[in-house]
Amino acid sequence: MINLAGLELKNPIMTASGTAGYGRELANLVDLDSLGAFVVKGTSLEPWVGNPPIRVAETASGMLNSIGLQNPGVGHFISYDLPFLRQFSVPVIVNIVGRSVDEYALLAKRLKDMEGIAALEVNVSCPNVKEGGLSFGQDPLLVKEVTEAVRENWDKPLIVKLSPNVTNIVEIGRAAKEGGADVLSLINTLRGMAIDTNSGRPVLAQGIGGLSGPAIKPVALRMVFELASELDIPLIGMGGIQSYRDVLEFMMAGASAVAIGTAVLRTPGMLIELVRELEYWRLSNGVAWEDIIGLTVRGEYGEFR
Amino acid sequence: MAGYVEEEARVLVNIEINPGIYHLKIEAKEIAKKWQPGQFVNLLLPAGMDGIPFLRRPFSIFMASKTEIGIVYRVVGRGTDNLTQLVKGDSLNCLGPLGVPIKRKIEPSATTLFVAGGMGIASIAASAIYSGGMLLYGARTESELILLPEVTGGLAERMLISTEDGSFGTKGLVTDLLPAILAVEDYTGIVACGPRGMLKRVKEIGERYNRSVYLVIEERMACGIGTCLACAIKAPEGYLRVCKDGPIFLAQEIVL
Repeated sequence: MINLAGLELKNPIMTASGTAGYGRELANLVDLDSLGAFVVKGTSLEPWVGNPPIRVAETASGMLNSIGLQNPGVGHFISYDLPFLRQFSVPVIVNIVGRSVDEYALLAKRLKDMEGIAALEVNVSCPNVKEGGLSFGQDPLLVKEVTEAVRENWDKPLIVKLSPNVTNIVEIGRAAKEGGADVLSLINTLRGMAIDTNSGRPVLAQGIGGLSGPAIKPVALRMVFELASELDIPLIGMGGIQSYRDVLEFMMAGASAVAIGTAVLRTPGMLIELVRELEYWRLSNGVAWEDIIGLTVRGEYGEFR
Repeated sequence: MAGYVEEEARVLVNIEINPGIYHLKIEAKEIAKKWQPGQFVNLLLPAGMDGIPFLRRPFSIFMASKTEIGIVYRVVGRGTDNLTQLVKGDSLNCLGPLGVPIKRKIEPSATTLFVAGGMGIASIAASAIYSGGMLLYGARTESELILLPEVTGGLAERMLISTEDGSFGTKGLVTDLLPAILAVEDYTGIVACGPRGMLKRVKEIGERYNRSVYLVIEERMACGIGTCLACAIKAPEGYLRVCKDGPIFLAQEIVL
């Protein structure tokens, strides 16, 4: 068992928001109950229509997306998706997105008394409509404000998912912690773009999108390491994980659990393989996860097979 | 139970049948068993040093036997180029069968008219063969026509072919054949797959003659199962997913 501020996971493998939908499609391929946790797609107060296509572009060892957080809204989630997810025993984490502090607060209030939700994950990478579209996650004061607004309306574990598009990730992480976050998850996608050289036009209709996949793993790992070095708060690491060795890197850097996103789009079955391979690695090395989590930060290097 | 699976399949045949066009046959027992005409498979193609192609690539399954599936593909980029390198015995990770079967939208019959442009033939050939209906099949030039017996076999007397340059069949666009046929024949439903321009034309003409028009859409995809929302197509309200809500749509369901 891995304990994330009261959120109990039977293994460190979670889905990353936005890459596993609300579970229905993935459940055809993967036993959701074998996962540590299931994180649903970013969910807003009202339905969001999303961005015009083209929405994805492939880049070296990664992909850009600008889906635009298309989702059917929290009402639809409560009436249609949550009952489906309640059939499973896996902890369900609801990722919430908003365009104003009030929207985040209202979402938390709406979900508060719902059975079958283990935790909320707050996506602070959305543009703040009231502040000219700058992402909440780029301003420590706004991160704190959003976190406080959710905290006031939510008693169970509260995760804040950080944007990597900042100069100082520790400052942002500290703001979320001060706002009442129990856990931090990172990283969201890195802003990037691709251009079609036959026309000079950006490949994505929106021009700029979010980069994910193995291309961003070293950046994500560095940010997890920095937060683990500076702050005392459980972390969920993500960004380009493709193998159980990648998972171990994140855990050694300080993550108590990890989320798998882009890799699920390629090979959904990898989720189960990772669970199995990690457990095999842990048992064959005779270690407990608490010894592994953050060992690089502590400098307690070992000899592992 | 699961409508689709992730399956490690084996390449049986991968040969160039026309310049730049390949016929791939793979042993994929589970997918072959579940497949229904109109469904596709999302393939994890061999990647280069830079990890490209990183995402899967969707391909129509034009035919399946008990244990095998058949695909025809044109080399259009890095992914399909790498795919040509696979030889008999190589393994290929397949996710499928995906998408809505054609017959869930329209039961193909002798009163169904099929219209295929270019590689669009792969999505509708099987339905056309079983239906007893007629197929209008167009390509730019003779060497882009896929006339494999598995693709067009049994259609001989029910197929009209056109090429833009007149190198085979009638000269012109496949949609040029449409008005004359609809004027005299009693086709109630039209199923079309091909380039967007062609689909727009089929929709226009079909609606003019008051027929139900179904369009099979090709789009770039990521997951193929409906979770990532990459393959969005505009609908009268919001977007639909080509991979999960389609690839076949009633023409009015989408905005081309």
